Amino acid sequence: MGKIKLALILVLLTLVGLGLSRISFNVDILKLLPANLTQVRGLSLFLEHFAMPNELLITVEGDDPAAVETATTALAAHLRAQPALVRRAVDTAPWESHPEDLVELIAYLLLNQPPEKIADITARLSPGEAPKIALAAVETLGASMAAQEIALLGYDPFGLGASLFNSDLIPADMQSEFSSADGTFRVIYIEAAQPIDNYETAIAWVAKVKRLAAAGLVGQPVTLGFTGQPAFVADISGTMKWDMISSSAVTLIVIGIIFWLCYRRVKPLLDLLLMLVIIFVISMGLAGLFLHQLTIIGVGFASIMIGLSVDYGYLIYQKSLHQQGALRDLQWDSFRNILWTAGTTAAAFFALNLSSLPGLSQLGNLVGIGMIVGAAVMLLVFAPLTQIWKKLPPAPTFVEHAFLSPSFLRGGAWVAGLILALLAATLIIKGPPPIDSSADMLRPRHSGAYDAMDQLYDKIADDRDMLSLLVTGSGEEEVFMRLQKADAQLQAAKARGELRSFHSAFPLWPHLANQRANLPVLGALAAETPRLERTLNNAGFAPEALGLTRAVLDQWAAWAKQPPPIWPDNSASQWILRRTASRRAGESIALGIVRAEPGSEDTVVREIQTDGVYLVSWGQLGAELRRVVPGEFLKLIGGLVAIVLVLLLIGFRSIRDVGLLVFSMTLVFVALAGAMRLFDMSWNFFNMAALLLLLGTGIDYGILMLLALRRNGGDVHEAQRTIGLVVALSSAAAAAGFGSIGWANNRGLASLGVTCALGLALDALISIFLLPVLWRLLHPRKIAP
Amino acid sequence: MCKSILLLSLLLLGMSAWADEIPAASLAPIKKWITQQSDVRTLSADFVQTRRLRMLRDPVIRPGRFWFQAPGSFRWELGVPPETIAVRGKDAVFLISAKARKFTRQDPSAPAAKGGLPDLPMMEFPMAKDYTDFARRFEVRSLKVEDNHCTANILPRDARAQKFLEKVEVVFNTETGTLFAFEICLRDGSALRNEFSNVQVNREIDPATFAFDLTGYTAIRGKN
Repeated sequence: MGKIKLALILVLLTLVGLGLSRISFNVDILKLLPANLTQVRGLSLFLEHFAMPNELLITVEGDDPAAVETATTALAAHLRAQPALVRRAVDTAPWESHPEDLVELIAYLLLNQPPEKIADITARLSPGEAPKIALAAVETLGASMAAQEIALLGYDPFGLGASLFNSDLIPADMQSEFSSADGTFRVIYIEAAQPIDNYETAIAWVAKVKRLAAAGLVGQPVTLGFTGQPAFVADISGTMKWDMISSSAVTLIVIGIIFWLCYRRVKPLLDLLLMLVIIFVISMGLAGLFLHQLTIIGVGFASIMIGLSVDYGYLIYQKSLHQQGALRDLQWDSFRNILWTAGTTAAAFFALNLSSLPGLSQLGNLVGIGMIVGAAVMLLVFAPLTQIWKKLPPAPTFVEHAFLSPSFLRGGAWVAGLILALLAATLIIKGPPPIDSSADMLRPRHSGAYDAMDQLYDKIADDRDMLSLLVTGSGEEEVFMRLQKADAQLQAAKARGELRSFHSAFPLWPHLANQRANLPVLGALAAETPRLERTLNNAGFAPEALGLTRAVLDQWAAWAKQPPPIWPDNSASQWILRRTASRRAGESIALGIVRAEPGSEDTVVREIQTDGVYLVSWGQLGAELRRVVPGEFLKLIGGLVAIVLVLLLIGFRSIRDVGLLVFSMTLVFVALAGAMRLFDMSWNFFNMAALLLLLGTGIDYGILMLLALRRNGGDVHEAQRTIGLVVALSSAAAAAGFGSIGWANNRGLASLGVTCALGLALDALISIFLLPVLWRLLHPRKIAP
Repeated sequence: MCKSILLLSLLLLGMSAWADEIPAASLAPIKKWITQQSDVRTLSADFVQTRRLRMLRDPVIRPGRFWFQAPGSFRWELGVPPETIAVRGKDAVFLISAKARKFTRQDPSAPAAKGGLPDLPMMEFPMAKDYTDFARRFEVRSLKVEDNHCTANILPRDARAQKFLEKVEVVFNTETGTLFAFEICLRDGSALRNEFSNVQVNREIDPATFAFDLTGYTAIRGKN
């Protein structure tokens, strides 16, 4: 028997160890949301293909533009000198230091042009036209008053690039991504030397870069900010770890204090805390077996589970104090109570799986598993331990005394009634809490990476009001077809006044038909280089004036040897295309930006968004969630209410008692809504789940109280005395568990914690003090002598 | 030997530091000139423009004429008869190619293009509202006064403009404030110099000078 137990423990420990080793953190906030929503799919594609997981952005800010530029240049050089850490540190556009690199892009853009335009270029370079063009260029260089024209024409006398600069291919209002207009804010783009494939690597790498940057800028009058994907991952996963550990620790401490105030016994307290730690480790390990990434919401499970599991410990301990029979009797008696409460609670949490919010589903599964593990550990391990302490003399505390005092219980009823009246009045006067459907709830409350990104938006390019246009396809051809269609639709929307501007990837995407037609023609032009050199010389140009033309012709000649699609691939082109095109095996995506006129966003999204084409933004995500999630929650709550009602009717076999429970839960929700209004709280997509959880966990208190009333023949004081303390302890522990995630860094998780804590406290108040009074009114004949 | 190199380096370093920092007293001619500009209601002058472009073997020289009326109207004509005209009236700057019969409209409130190069490679007049404004926008790199002729090398403080500009040189009369020359030197070695003559200050100018009938001209894509 001993060997079997040992073997079982070893198997359990192995499984737990295996599970724990698999647990990791996933900071992707989109993993919390329904994957079937178009906005979620589009934003996920955006983050997957264009979020640059290995790129950290360092912002440098100061008062003096010259000092900021000096510091930025020095810092970039300092970081470049660490090849083991940094693959590249870019502080100016690559073409500023190597303008010749832009030639490849010019050649590529011309290659994509329609054959008619290519015919025009070949005509300009022909022996008959080229001398006239060269002489006209000299004339223009002498007479033009347009600085850009003078600057370009000197280097491009045949005007190969001019057509591009005067078209939408290169937007005139393009803002530098390296510096603010006044030069007091600059950005360095840092790429990690090694791929950042998990949160621990991100934390370690970002910390090293921060140290290095601080060391390289000692005494400089600038401040640094760190943002970009690695900084987000480091920031959020770091706080997730802290949130989970700190909230669990706080919950344990609060539970310890509550237990001490009620029982003043050290040994049972220590054993109870040990049980909770064991429950946490086992639950976490088992969860890790089927789930290896905890989401931002999932991390809240630990403290919730501890706060709820301890209820079983309190119940068993309280029963053990008055229990006279054998251990088996205590376990059986407790099991019947726990079955009820754990059943409804676990059902409520598992019901979160029906929600389309994966973050909540994960939280539900984790807590559900924790509840079952908690019940098993308390019944099988904690209950036997109580038999040892039972021998110790009981030492009632002031809390126990209070629950023995009729005046305390009467006073409690009055206070509960007054609080309820106050909250109901608040609700009537101020109305129900508003619904916050913005995507802000997905953001952390404190994050240096978010702060730096906000600053970057303010100083350089605020794209928060922009829609991202993602055009997907299995290859270049399919993406091109969709881009062409989207481009036409965007043009039409602009003509209707629905758009302020748009920049689609269409002009940059390879036009296969044009490339096939143009390559043989353009590839042959390189042979004309000596003639064109003579032409320019005769017109008065210096030899370098042919530089751009020669480089473009050479590039076309090189490409003519390759089959289309042709993509430019030097460093300048890669830099430009990295936020425009993504190509992976079997999937190509083009990214563009759309600025809709205020009020036209929804219309534009409806018109443009189609199969494989996404027009997404965080604002649109909020709007889509607003359309989908509340209705879904209502359905979920309706389903759970039906299940609970059936269970209660089967269990109580009394419509009056079930009606009373429904009434008391209604009072809880009314009081919660009033309290939320009083504290200026609002509903959001995460704390709406509190309704569901309160229905599952909060109803337990009412059930326990009704069972006690029935057991005691309707003796209200006796019921309050025997079970009131347990409910008070349980609700305080559960509220502590939920409340401790109230300071979690994720706003959604924190709001869920605070709402649940508030709801549970109100639920306990109503169940302990008002429910027995109402029950007595409903059952006048059952009043005990 | 090493000591000599070190001394020479220090000396050069010191000299460059002195060159960067012009004592406040030495800036008096600039202050006076800027102050004198604020008294100018109208201005007209002939000029000869010399463009030395890096990509052209020989300089291109053209005569022209300039008119200004406070607070901000101007007209530059390049070539005789004018080939290119820049006119700023009430709400826009028009760059007009008389030969090609085309024009570009630009926003007068954005004299410097986003890329950092001034849209109009001609002198902005007046250069500043007052000396404080001038000091905020320009850095004086050197100043030389000889026989009432002051030659000032200045550079815009705008970092983007500095990417393209090597220096801007203005030559003026320290007594009358009359402008003699204005030169923009670009970092690629190109330079545009305007030598002024027949300068007339505060004479009546026909308001029609600052307007242009664009009938028959084709608009081409500008930056604004």
